[in-house]
Amino acid sequence: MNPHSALPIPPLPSAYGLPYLVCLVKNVNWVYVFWELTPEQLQHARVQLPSQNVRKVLRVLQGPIGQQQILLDMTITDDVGEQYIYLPQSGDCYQMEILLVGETGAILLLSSNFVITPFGQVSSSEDYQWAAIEELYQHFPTPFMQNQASSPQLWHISSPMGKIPPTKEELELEVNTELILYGRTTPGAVLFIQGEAMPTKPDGSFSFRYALPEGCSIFPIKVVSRSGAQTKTLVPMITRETY
Amino acid sequence: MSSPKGILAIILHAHLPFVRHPERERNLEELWLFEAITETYLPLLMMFDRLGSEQIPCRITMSITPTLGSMLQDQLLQQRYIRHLDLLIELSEKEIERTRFQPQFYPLAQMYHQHFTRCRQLFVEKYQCDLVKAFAAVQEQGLLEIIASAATHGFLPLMDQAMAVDAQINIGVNWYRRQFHRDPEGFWLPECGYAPGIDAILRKYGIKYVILDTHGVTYSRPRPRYATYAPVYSPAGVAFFGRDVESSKQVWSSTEGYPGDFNYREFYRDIGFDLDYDYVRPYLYSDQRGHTGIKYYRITGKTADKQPYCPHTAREKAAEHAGNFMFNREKQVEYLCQHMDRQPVIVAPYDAELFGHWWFEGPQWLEFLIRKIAFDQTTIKLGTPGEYLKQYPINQVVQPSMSSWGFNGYNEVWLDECNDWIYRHLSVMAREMIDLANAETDSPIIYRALNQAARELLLAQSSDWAFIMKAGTMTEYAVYRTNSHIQQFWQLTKGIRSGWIDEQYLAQLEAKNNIFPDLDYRVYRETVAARTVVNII
Repeated sequence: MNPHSALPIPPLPSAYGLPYLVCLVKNVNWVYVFWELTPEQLQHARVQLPSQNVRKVLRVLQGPIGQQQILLDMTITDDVGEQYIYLPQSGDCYQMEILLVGETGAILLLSSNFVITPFGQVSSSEDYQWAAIEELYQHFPTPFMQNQASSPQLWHISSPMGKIPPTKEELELEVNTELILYGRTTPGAVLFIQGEAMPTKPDGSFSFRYALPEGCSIFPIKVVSRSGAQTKTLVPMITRETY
Repeated sequence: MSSPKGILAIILHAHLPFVRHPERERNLEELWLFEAITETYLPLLMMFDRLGSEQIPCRITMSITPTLGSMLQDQLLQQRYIRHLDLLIELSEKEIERTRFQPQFYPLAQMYHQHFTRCRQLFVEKYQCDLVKAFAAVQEQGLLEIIASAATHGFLPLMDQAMAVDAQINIGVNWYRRQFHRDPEGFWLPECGYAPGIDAILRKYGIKYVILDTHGVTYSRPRPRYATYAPVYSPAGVAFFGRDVESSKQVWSSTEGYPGDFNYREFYRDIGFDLDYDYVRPYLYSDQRGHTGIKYYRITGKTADKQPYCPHTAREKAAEHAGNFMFNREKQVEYLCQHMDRQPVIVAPYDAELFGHWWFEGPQWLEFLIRKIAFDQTTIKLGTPGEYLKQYPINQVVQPSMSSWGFNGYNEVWLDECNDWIYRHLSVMAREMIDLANAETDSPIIYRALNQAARELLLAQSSDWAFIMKAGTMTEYAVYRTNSHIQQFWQLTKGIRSGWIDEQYLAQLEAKNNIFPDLDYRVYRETVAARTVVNII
């Protein structure tokens, strides 16, 4: 169940019955690969590769299109799977493939999209018409604001500013007091609390809530009749003492 | 008066995900919107109003994402916001009474009451509940340059289908044109997320510039001549401006940033947490304690013993910090000028919601800064990236680096073990949407279902859900939203494939997830040009 609906959210499909192999760049050296092989695809490939010992291989190709070289092969078992892959060379072009490999050959089952991982450093290549000005690069001690909440969307994360770190094993106690002054007067009479006119309900009742500070507090309460001919005053005195 | 030596481009990124829940009267997520209106968007509009009426030179760049803009223009949310303000006014009235004998808090209760009352008056009477139109008017006045953004703040570097990127940009640009009656010059890449190839799609929609995090520009190939102090062109001809490290640090840094000053208002001490539960319960958005927006303490220090907030002292500090920021930019520009053969541009992008919501005094700081730049110096001038490009149309061509402004600078905030599971679904959904879009339909109900399927895909792609999962806050909501949109998408496409649509179900979804009412699913129709880009991304 979720807080936004009376109905439980049904689970998501674990497989879609469609073939795909996708590669996404996580950072300079890591990519995330996910795939789905369909039974039909595998069956068809096995017919073409009638070997007893076949295995599925996730292949990493490195280099631009037309100049690709095999970086590594890894055996996979899942038809629907995922894998994080470490790529030692940053700033290069990669593509993934899944093959069915047997003793007599290999059948290509899936090819992924091409990705280019970021270089992760200032380039050594220069455009001599636009030669870099060294002095302008002296103010980049860190390339980006690592370990800072430099990301946006602060509305749903902890503010980067001044959040109180939890103190270990500190027993907390905070006590506040409030005073509710309530009562009733003749309907239409004017009520004053500490000299200030206060509203009453049509039946003459009233209720006010005050933060009660430490020490002695005096609340002169005065009513004046509608005609102004009569007055009445009561003075509650409340003392708050915290030990 | 001497001409300025450099340009300061302040960029505010205003964004919230689409969190409209008509099925429930009070939603914690809708409170994000209401808080942002009260604490950020209205204070910014008040600031622009003052600056405009006093004719103070001001040029700020601002993005308003389509998800935020759509919510700001939604009548249900507008009415709910008014009710929200009415409750805040009622609570602040009670607070004025309750704090009558607490001189340290009484003026603060009055301050909040005045602010909420003023917000209601402005929202209802002056702006007729439409803040997008209000910001558009500021743009027309010449104080603001509003830039476009992606349809639902999808994180573009993690979309493996070029048409999915294309649709996010296309819909975002068209939403902008409808709201602001002009073509956008600039485009805010969600999370500053860029991967080579995206620039070709941006160019296709007439985008002239975007903003990247620092290393997106400084790690370009070949090395940029001016680092981040001038834009570079990508191979597709889009200008890329890089975030300035120094000005970012002064505001964002958790240790050195202005917002952490001990005199500023403490965000976490809210009466929603501090006062008697029964008293505040009618003003809370869930069964648990939460923020009401009334906060009486200042940051004070790294201590739990917080002292009462003093608005006067905080305001003086905001002025001092604005002066310090300006002084540092002047010195920075003077240094840069010694080495550059053109005016440097310092690009300072911030979350708009930092100003006012997280940093209560942020709007004051910004206004002080704008006024000080106008009157107290001649070294720097406020400007927009668009204006800078007009002044310096010839720039170096490089290949900018993949980058984002998230933790560690690449994609790992949005692609991590806690959220990677979403990408399989998003990828297959995008393929299905593209496939369906390539076919024609004569059936009005299938057409509606295709459009709604596109909306569900777009909403599932919001970068916010992966971000929340990574941040570990409100994770349940992010999973709920992701799963819901995925489920709804497949339910619709199943109907489309079979030729039978459950009209009641479709109508319910159209009423609930009503973003982009004019959406035409054929934005996903694949073109030859888009296929070419697939190989680049």
